[in-house]
Amino acid sequence: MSATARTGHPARRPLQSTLRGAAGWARGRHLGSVAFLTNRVTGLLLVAYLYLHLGVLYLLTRGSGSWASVLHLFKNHYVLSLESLLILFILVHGLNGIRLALVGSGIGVRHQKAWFTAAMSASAVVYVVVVLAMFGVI
Amino acid sequence: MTTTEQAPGQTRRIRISRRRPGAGRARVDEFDVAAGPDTTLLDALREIRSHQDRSLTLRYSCCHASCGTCGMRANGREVLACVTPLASLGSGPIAVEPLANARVEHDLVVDMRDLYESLEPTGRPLIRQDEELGGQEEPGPTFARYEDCLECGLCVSACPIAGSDSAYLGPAALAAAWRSVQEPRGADPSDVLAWVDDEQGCWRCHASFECTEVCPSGVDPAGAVMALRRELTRRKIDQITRRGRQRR
Repeated sequence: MSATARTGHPARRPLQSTLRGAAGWARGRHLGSVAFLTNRVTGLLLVAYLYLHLGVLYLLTRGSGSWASVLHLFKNHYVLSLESLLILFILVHGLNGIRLALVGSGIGVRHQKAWFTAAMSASAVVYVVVVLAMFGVI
Repeated sequence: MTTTEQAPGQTRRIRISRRRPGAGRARVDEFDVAAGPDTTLLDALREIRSHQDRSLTLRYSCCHASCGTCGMRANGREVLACVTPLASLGSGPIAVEPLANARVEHDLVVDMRDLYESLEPTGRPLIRQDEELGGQEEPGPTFARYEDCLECGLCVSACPIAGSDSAYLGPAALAAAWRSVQEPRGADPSDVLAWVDDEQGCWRCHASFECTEVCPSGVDPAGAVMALRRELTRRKIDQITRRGRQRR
């Protein structure tokens, strides 16, 4: 073999290094890590929704007028689309959580990828049905 | 491992993360290496060290995936360099980095003491296959051979929990622990089970299964972690039902 050398990129800054490190970790990962990250991301989004929900409920204390305007807002198609995403996050997080509970109890460990694929497929099917129902198609 | 077509005599660019002892940050050096279809990553690194940069520090020994010393990350994935053809790493530049979740000693060499020390409490069950079957006339249960573990540390490097919590026992130690429990050979496995029955033990795993994916030796550390949980749960249920019977 013959070879030629080049040198020396300048050193990265810590933030760049951290981000590249995270990107490097993500690049080499497998389906199990996709499931791992999916559960955490959807979990955080559901926590964020809970706070949003509490904020909306707080409007009840400000009288029927403000509550009526909120209910009117919820009929907007854009808001409905966001609500449908909430259903998606619940489905993904819940079904993946059942997979984790089973696998974590030593049940079907060798089939964890198939469990995940099944959970995501079921989530997709239910989500489509729910969206069609929300928008009055069925 | 999938391989892509690589023409004979093709030049490959290798970007190596370099870190000197005492230096704060790593830098990246690039090298071009002529490679054939069977050239492994270790071949390329040895070529660089022999003909381009004598200061490149790497660790290797057996060159056939037996010693587990040449573990590193190539394009973000944990590999043993000696059995990883360059052709399996895509057609672009190859980013080579030391294992994650361990202190870097120099360039691609990391400190393995934490890994080795984490294995000690398990008794490091090194049992040969012929010993396993010796004296058994009746066919016994099928044992997963965690003693196939090379102690290369790829599983620890790939584990997202080991990356975020240095107190976690880690997949290698837990796999060895399950091996001790599975085949105690007359010893009481309670101590090992008590050791892993901890928030930093088998319950800390978040089931990403990366350890099992990257293991070059067919060990299934994630399966071992789940088996430990199952065994601990079974023993706790047994304790509860026994207490219930005693009260009656």
